[in-house]
Amino acid sequence: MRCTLPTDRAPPKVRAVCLTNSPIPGIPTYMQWFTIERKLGTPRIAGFHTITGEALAVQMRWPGGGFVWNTPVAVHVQRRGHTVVHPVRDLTRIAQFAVAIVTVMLVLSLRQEGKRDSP
Amino acid sequence: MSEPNNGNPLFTVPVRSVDEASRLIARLFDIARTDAVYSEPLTQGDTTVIVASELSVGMGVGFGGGEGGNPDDGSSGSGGGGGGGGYALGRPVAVISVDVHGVQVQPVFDLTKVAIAALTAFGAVFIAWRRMSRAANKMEEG
Repeated sequence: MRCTLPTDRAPPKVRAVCLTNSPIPGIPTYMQWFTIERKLGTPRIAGFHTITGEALAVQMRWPGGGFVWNTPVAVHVQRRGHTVVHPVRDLTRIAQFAVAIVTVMLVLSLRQEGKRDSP
Repeated sequence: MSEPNNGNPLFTVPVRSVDEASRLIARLFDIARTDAVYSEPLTQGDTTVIVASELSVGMGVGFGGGEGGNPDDGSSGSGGGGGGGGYALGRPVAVISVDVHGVQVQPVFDLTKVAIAALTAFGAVFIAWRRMSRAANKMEEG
C-alpha cells in the first residue's frame, strides 16, 4: 500500500514509508511522533510585491509533551508574474557552528599534541 | 486563574486533568505554522518591514497516582500528583524590507550570543589544556 503525505505548495522534506494500520490515514504510524516540514505561508502584499515566507518546522510529540522548532528559510517575492526566492541566512547560528567546529578542532589538536608528547 | 484560556498566554492556564494537559499541548503546535515565524508587515511611508524569527517551544507534563493499603486491618490509602515544565525561545533572524528600490533580506547578527558561546567554549578548552599541562608536568617531575 502506498501512502501519500498531505500536499502543499512546497513538498515536505521527509519521504515516508507507508505502514498499515495507521490511525491517521496517509500518515505512517512512526512518523506521527516526528515530522519535518518545509512549507510556504500566507502571501502578504507589500507595495507592488507579494511576499510569501517559507519556513522549516520540526515537530516531536510524545505522550504528555512535545517540542517544536520553527525557523524561516526563504522569502518568495513575486512581482509582475516573476518570482524571486531570497534565502534567509541565520548568521548567528552559522557563527555559533563555526565556534563549535573551531573548539572541536582545538580539542582534537590538543589531544594529538598530548599523545605525541607522552612517552 | 480559574477562568478558561480566553486569549491568555499558554502557561497561565491551570491544568487539572490529563485531557486539559493534552489540549494545552495541542496548542503548543500552533508554533509550527509558517505564519508564526513571519511578523505582520509594518508599513511606514513607502517602506514595509517584515521580521523573520526563529521559534522553539518545548513542554512536558506528567500525572501519577497510586493506591495501597493493609488488607489485614482493612486500611487503604491513595495518592496522586502531577507536574510539568516547558520553555519557549524566540529570536529574530532577519528583517525583510520592501521599498521603492526592491526587496532586501538583512540578517540579524546577535554578537552577544556568539561572544558568550565563544568565551564559554574557548574558556573550557583553556582550562582543560591547563589541567593536562599540569598533570603532564607532575608526571615528568615524579
